[in-house]
Amino acid sequence: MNATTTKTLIAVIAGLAVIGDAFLLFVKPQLSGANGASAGTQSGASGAIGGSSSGTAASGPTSSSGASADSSGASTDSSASSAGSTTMQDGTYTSVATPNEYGEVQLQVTVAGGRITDIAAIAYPNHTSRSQGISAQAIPQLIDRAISAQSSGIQYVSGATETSTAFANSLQDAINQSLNAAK
Amino acid sequence: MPIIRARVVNAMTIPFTIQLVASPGTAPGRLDALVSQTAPRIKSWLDHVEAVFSPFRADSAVGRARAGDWRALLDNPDFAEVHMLVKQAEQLTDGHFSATHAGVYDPTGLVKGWAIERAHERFLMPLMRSGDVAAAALGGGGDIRTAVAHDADFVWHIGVDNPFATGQDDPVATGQDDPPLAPPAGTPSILRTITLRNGAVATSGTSKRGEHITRTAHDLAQATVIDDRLVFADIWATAAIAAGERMFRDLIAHHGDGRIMAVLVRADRTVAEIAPSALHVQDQGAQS
Repeated sequence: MNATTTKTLIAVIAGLAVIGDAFLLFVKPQLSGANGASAGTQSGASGAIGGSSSGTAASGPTSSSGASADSSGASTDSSASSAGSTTMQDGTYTSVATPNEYGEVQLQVTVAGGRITDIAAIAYPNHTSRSQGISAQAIPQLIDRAISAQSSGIQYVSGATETSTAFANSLQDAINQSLNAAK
Repeated sequence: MPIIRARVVNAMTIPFTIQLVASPGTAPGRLDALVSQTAPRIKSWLDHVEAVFSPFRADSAVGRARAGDWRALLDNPDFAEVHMLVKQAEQLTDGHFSATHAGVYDPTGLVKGWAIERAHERFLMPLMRSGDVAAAALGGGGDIRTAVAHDADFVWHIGVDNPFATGQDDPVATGQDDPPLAPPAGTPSILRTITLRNGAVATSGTSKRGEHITRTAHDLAQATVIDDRLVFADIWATAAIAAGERMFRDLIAHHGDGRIMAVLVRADRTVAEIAPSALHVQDQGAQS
């Protein structure tokens, strides 16, 4: 009896952890990043292209994208092996719509005779929910962002000239030194 | 003064800098441990991105797409997502951002910003959510993504590089193998300082290696763009260089919705700022 309870508990915790992970990885960044404009939309953060019916694609790409994130340390490119072995079924594949602050894009990939014969992109500008996002975000953004002529206490430099490794290291040293001095 | 730790990882042939700011209750040792745990994960991710998107490798997904094999669109979600962003960027900028150069697919101009954005989301945001870290940022090759926890008062300061600073823009001109390095901060080579909590900064110019920009105007020497997401800051900065100042102002007036800020350095070395919302313009006159 006790063992069963423990097993159930572990299963529940593991399940919650997976759901929590998925939420943090795919839903939360979108909510915070897309100005809340996409709050009501599905969590299609990944750009995976689902099967020919776009409605079923929500769970598939999410999990596959998670897998690719987890296996990111692997040196081999998983798609290299799978691309060679799998044959593509004929049909039209439509990607999950991935909304962002500028709208959303869907890709339509047409496969005929086992070959990709057409790639079409349909872009939808964001013109519906933007105003809500702005009213929610405008004030903090104005406070958060500023451009000034002062040049002290900089953590990063943004430039078109490529910064060398030595430059980045010297920046790191300078920060660590100033921190040590402040201690 | 808050405790900050910086760590450099090298990937995609450039240095990326991770910076973490401790929460009030986080000891320096804990922060060190967090940086040490996170750095290799970010490096692995960036190495993975390079393996998929390098235009120089025939066996990368981009390399195969260049050879006409676009199957990665169907079996690689990252490749598909980047391609969708490319399509969106081309539409958003009326084609001034383009991932096709001389007839060849090259999404490089967008991939670095996208990779930093993803790394920040996956590896740095969890440290903020756990409460250990008050602020976290990742930058590389002029692209920077920052975040600050809601209850923290930390603000990131990002310097805009002066592309005309001597000793920095042209290593050959110094006549040395190792050109003198620019001092890290607080020097005249910083044109402006951007203060930012949650957002992104990207800079494009004429000297950035590995970035092929097809230009229709040549009046801008450098464009620094601040936006919510790094991918779009990157796209707009590239578009500004390609389109020139007038067209860029038109583009963001139509698509930017006032969210974009920018620091433009003109070829004549004058600097213009584009402020948010009203797109209020301040001309700053000639640089010294």
